[in-house]
Amino acid sequence: MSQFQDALLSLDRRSFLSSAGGLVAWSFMPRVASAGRSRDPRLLIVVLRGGLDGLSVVAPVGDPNYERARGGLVLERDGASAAMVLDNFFVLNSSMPTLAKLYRSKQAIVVHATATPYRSRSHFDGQDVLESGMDRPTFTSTGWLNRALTSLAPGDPVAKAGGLCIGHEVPLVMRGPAPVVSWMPPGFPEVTSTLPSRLLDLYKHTDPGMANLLEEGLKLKMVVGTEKEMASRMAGMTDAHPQVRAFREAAVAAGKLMAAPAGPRVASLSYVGWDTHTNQRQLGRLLQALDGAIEGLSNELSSVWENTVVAIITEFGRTVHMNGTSGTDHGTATTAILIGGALKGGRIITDWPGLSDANLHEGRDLKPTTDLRAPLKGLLADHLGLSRRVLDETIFPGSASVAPMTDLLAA
Amino acid sequence: MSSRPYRDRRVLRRRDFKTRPFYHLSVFRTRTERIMSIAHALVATRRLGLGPRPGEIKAILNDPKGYVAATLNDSSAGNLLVQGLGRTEAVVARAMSDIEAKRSRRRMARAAMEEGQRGGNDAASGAMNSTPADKSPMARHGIEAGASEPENFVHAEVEARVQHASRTTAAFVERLVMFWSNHFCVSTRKSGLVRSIAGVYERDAIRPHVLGRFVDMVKATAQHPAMLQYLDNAQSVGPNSHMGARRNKGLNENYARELLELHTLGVDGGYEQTDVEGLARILTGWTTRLPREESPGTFMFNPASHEPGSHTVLGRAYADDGVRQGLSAIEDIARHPSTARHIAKRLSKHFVSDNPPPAMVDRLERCFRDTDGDLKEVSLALVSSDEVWSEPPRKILPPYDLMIATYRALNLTAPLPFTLATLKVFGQRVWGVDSPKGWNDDDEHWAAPKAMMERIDWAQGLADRFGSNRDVADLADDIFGGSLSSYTREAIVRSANQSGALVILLLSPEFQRR
Repeated sequence: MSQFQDALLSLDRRSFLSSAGGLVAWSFMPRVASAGRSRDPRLLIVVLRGGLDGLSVVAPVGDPNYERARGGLVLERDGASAAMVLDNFFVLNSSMPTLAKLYRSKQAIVVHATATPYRSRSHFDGQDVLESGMDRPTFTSTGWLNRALTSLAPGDPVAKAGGLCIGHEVPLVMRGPAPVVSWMPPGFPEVTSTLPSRLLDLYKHTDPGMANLLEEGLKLKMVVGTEKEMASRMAGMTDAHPQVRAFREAAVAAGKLMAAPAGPRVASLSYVGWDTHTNQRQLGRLLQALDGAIEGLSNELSSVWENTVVAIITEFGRTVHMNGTSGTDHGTATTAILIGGALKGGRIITDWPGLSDANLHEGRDLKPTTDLRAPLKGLLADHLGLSRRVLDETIFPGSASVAPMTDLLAA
Repeated sequence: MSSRPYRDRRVLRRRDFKTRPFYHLSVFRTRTERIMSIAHALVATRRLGLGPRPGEIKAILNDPKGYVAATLNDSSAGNLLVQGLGRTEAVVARAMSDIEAKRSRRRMARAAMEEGQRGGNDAASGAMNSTPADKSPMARHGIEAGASEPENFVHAEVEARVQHASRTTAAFVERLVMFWSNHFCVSTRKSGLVRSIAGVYERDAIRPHVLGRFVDMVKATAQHPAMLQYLDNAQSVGPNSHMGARRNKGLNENYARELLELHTLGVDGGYEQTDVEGLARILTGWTTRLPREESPGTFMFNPASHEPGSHTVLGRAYADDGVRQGLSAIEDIARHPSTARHIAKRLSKHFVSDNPPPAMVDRLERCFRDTDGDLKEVSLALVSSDEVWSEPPRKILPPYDLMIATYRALNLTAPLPFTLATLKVFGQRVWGVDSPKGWNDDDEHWAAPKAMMERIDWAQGLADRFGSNRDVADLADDIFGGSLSSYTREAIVRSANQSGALVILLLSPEFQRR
């Protein structure tokens, strides 16, 4: 086999936009792809790396121990930055107005006091469990989202369209045998000259493998738009903090690619910086950035919003009490946030453990009462149509005792 | 046609030689000989090196193979001695005391805050705000949450490594260092401590052994605090040991498993779960000294946490003999036939392609077995393999290698922030791997579609900022020995300006693959 064929074969594994599976597959897609799943579903997994303090996102103000337990971390209830009321027990951090709007229009669900099966407090191992889908750190090389793609029926359009990741490295959750294409948020100032097309011309004469890769890159760029076009999408954000912009940019890119007719249906992106050991006031800006990302996603995905679910998850929560540096240390249970038009939203799903000292996990953390795999399995079952057996054995091995959460999606 | 060195047949047409006179060296009797010689010089400096520096191709044209082989004669060629970068014992002590100091600052802040709450004043806020998050070194470098001190360590180490790689004439040895460092990787993502000592780990546990014996490298990595922490062996306690019985602690198999799966036998190397557990038991007690002990953080064998008794690995029982028990097991595993096979495959894949010629893998495997894992001999066997010199270039340069090749070609000393930003955007921070498997070594792993676009943007930024201090076509002829395809050379010559020409050179297939 020639080196060129080699190159083309390896290219095929990772390509989607120019592949036969792209447009063609979608035009032939049956009205209902498989029994018991959303039509032409979009599923995005957002990983918040570092450990999100769920109690600062959705605060249990109805808990009699809330103010005492949280001390300086209590959300404000009055004034300009007053938390928004979700129900008679929970309020939402004032930095997240878009999430509040989605919640009120029944397009958001909060799962509270949830955790993966991981019970120690290492980011490294916590993220390994969160993304591998295993019940303990194993350094497995594939992630549950990728295995979900490979577990779909052969020829399934969702699987054929491949996965997408935003970021230079494919995160573990998206890693595996299913083809994944990656989009990096702009890193270096973008070349605006004719250089890319001149290089493409050069590659076509000298290195077909590289020509194909670059051609794909140019196509991706056509879908997402140039940095200049991106900048216009970000209009009004020129004064925004770089973090707010970066979150939004990644979300807009993901949304645009997932909304494209031949684009990927399953994607992941991750945001870092949630490890708020010190001065947790910084969390407000992070949540503002996340809210901006949610807004960007709902805008870009508006044409397919009724088929969309976005799950925002993190490796673990943080201590209930404030530490000595106005922050919080690694904890256990936290919140998971689901948004999307496919949801039966406007709900907080929780078996609330309470914040009295006796109820805390190991005397310090919010006690986990909902296995995070339950809502994730529920989404994979009802949104992507995966069977219980596959979910128990392949996607989240060893999770047979964790029933998929039902009733997450709108009928 | 595996003997065909480069894919463009039209390399070095007669017309080209007229414009590039230095190849009319009388040593070459025939044109073919001349072409082969240039091809070999490119293999020597690119496939087996870090990219040619100006003048290097010309200088080694007489004997490219001998040039590479000669770099192996100095058994200490892998070492990196830099003023101001201490050895493991000093660096670990410093890192641990920094971490301890940070903890105590936190404790003081907590105490101050509690005091403040009791007194109703705002005493705590002053302490808290003394280092606002936005101004910290990590924020300035765009690095996610973590201690600030470890960044200082790692930045100094990265700078030393990059400067060395950009200048060294023993580039093949540096490539071996990079290979073995990745093979036995630790990750700065693990913790502040590992972040602080990842650099000295490479300098002390990897570099001294790249031309030594494999088993010594396994032992050095096994006993280095960075590895003991990274793969948790320091925390692994024998369930029936003194400490295990008293404190209800137990085994952590992490390191034992990776030692078998990644470092030695390979995943199909013929071991089972019971072997992992046996080895984990044997390696209990291999831990690090506590902060307040002498030489804090360095390796110690702690009998109190060592699982008593004889344990079996790969069918052989090892009697309880303290630290010797683990050393014996490592010696046997390191010379196991599966290890020879695994290492031969990984080396061949790294230096040639995803599907290396089987004859070459066999040769390296045999050499590893015959010499009991003498890595100088194995490296020589690699250099002596005809396949290395004849296989077409398939591997896309990883970001770090692309950056170094660029620095070398341009004789450039880029400021550290540029280097850090480059590696961050491309997703290959030095020692920043996200899995014990190390960086992916597939031929085209780093050439994802968007990554190609990013390479263009990067090269343009670099060309605009630093440029080339000589005509780019001249430079291209220099570092490729006049062998660039006519297409590439024409694209360079026809560029409207020198910075565009430089981007074409850096993005050309000839520069991107090796």
